[in-house]
Amino acid sequence: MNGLDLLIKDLTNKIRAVWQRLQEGAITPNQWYTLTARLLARYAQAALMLGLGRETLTPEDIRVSWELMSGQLEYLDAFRLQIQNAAEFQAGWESRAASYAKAIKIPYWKGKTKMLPLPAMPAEGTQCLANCGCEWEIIPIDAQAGDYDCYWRRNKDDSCQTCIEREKQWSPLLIRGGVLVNPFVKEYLETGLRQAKNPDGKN
Amino acid sequence: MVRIKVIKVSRDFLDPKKIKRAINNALDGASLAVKVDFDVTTQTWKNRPGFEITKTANARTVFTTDKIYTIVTRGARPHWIYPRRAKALRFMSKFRPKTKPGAIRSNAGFIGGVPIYARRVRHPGHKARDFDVAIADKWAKKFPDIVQRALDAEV
Repeated sequence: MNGLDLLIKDLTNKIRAVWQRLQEGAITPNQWYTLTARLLARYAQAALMLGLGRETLTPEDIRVSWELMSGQLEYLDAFRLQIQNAAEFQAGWESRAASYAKAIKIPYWKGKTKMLPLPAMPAEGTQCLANCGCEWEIIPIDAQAGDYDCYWRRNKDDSCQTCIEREKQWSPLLIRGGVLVNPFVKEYLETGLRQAKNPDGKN
Repeated sequence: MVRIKVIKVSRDFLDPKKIKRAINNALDGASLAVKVDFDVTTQTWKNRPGFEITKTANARTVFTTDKIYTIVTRGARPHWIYPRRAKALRFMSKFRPKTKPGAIRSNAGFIGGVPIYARRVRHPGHKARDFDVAIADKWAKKFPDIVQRALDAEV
């Protein structure tokens, strides 16, 4: 079990404990939201630290970790409203609450791939959301020159359609001289047209 | 609703070449992510259309010239269908489409039941899937994160 898995496991237990208090009526849905959001924010920072391989965070890092979790907090808020408006607790809600722990993968990968302009991080924009088990495998070719081969790796058999497609198209994605190489560009339309009309470059 | 997000740039980030590279990387990154989503909408199709990306100074366009994909995306009004080469039309009685309006995914779909023969058929039409709208909405929200990542890579 790697560091991220340990963090997710620990956060899952803590979120479940808070959920238990909500279910027992010890706290209100608003208090549950605040406590869970705080846990997510704290663990997002820890995940970012882990990804960066550092023991401290700058104020900028903290802002980034907060921003990366903002989407999840919107989902959490929508969930809070659903709980508030429901007559009784529904089966599956506890698991749904616990699944928010997996969202800290996003700051982790942000830290892990900080220096690279990659199109998306695991769990970002995928159908499987926070359940995403994918990873970026970064192979430095010449780090000094900014050359990397980046592979989207699926680690689960049950990956979603987005992850399957990303693996197909992004294994590898090349970064050369700090530039993300786009392998699907058909033509440089504007320069191509300009050159076709005026091949000598004269006005 | 318009979302406004502050993109922070480091003080030592003053080299125009770096800014240009970051912008281009962000545009290329976003276009790659958008292309993946378009391909997801046809993942279960037998004849999958190809999607391409064109590149201009400050834009990327992800597109296909496939006619079927355009019809599926834009929808179709009810219309009559007549046989062109045969005397009758043949189709199956049960059908479940592979895609749904606004959903960036494709399912197995289903064609089955019993064959039906007819001289002409009133096709009920289908709702526009609006894949382009759904994908644009999704990535417009995430674009600031992609730009931030590209800027972070330069400092």
